[in-house]
Amino acid sequence: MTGKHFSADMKSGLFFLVVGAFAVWRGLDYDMGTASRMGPGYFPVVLGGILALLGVVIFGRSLVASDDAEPQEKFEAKSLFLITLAVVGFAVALMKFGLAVAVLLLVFVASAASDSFSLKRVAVLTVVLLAMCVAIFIYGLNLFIPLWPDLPSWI
Amino acid sequence: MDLIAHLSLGFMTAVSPANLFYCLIGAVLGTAIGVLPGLGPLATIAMLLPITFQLEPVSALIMLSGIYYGASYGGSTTSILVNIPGEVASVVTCLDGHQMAKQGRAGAALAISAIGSFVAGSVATLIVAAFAPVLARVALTFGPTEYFSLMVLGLIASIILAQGSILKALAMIVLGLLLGLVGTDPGSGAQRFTFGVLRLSDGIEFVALAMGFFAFTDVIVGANKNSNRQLVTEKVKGLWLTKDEVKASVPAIARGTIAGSLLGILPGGGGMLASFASYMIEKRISKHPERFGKGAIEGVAGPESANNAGAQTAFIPMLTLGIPSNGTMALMIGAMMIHGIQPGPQVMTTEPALFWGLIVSMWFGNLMLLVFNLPLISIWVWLLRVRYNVLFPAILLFCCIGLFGIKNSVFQIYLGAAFGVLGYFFYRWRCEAAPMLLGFILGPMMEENLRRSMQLSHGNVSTFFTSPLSAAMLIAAGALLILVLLPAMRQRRGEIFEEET
Repeated sequence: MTGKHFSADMKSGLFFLVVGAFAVWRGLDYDMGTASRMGPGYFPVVLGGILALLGVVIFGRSLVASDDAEPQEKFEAKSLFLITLAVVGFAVALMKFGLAVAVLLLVFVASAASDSFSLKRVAVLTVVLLAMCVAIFIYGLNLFIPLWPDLPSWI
Repeated sequence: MDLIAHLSLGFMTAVSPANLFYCLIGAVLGTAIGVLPGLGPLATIAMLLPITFQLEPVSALIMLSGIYYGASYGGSTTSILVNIPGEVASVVTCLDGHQMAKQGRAGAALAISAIGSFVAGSVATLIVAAFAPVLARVALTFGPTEYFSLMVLGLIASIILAQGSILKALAMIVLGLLLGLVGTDPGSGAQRFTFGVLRLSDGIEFVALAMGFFAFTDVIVGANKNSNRQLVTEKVKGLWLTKDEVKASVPAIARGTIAGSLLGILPGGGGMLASFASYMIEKRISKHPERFGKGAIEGVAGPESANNAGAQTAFIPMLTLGIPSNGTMALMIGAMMIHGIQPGPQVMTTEPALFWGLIVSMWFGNLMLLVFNLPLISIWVWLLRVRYNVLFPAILLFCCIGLFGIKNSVFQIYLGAAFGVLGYFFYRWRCEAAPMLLGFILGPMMEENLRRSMQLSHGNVSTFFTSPLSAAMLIAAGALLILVLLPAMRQRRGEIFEEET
């Protein structure tokens, strides 16, 4: 998936550099104060500077030395997308349609990331998990979770 | 005398029916989840944190520690029966434990691992009880300057034993420190890095961070790899040890306990380092080192004892200094803060019942595991066979509901999902997330102490070097850093040199 020219060190070094630089840039907007009376900007700017510096060193080293290769396995784009979608979908559905629909959605979408998808297993799993959730979280821990769509929703 | 008074106070707290119950629940739940595929102790504790929110702080911590050592028991069981370490600390147990299982001695391997863990856990509990107050008394004399330097030392020391690149671990710590600053600045009330998002003004929710980087990322990595686990034996029998096995195990347990207790106190130590060290020791002093890797019982007894002793003494810096030595301890500190307890040396004096109750409960937890673990082995074997593609939707679901339950808001779920995605990239880039968790916990405390020391010294940085204790800790941190970076540099240079010639 990823090109040979970008190693793990290179990408992570760039990431740290960007995040560090961003922290410095945003941090400078806050009051820096003085050394004896440090304002809210002081520590973030210092940390951001250190992070950016580390990023540069990690990146620089990746240019001159052989470094950590990325894991041999392929980039799991499908899992990354489906698992994230399942979680985000759950959150959206929980507010709009209640727990039952949200659980159904999460189990179906997440299971699609697995190498073997069986409709029967997913259906059974949905029912079992929903029953467990209702028992543990709604009755056991008294969490305030809407179960069905017709209930008013809280945000 | 103090020790006895303290332990009896702890005993009174720990034997209350509620606390015994939560200790048992924690230990059994921890073992069960430790046995299930694909869930390490960090993900387990992160996932179960929300359940403890409504408990008393003591009960919550007792249950969480139960989950912690329960998960390490469970990890040993998977090592022995399926040759898959449930956690890093039980990697060595695979070597000889699994060979024993292949030779039909699975029962003996499980038994010695439980007995060794119990003995080591009991000794380590006493060590914690004896040494924690001493360390706490020293730490109470620390001013903000010493505290800041101590945190620097703790953070640097914790990455020495981290796998992979030291530089990346350092960067992850700094990233964690920065993430810890998100929200309202306690010094000035200014909003930092919140980007106008109101929900972020309380800071990034610790549970969302932990679940995202540990549970969600693990699921993304593992969802498509439905490894079929091959069990060695359908039925585990023959739990009784032979005379020779007992003779070989007793000294191994003793050595493992000592090594583990010492190594557990070190930052970055904990169970993993301890179990590796113990295995090396056993192999080195054995008259028949060739037996190792072929089912030597000392190779199970020693590391398993060391692992548990180390896991327990890792509580010492956490309880007395408020400084986590590894990812799990960072989660425990996070849990304390959620319950409104500011970790640090004052915990022992302000919350004596919690402090001593927690310590004594560890001994009870270990006893329960010894008593229940072996009879329940058929349940563990059944759980071993649960397939990951059934399990991971359940993990996601429990995390999501836990995240929702924190503040009855789905915002935490979105935050967790974002961290899960970021965590997958860190996994690809071989950047370990545990050091970041340590930084996240310590970030606000570090800033506070830095701010106060600078105020006291009127902005003079030299204050960190004029206090002898602080200077010593900073020099130690610097020396450690140079020490770990140097060989790496030399090795790199060597590689380049080789390529050129």
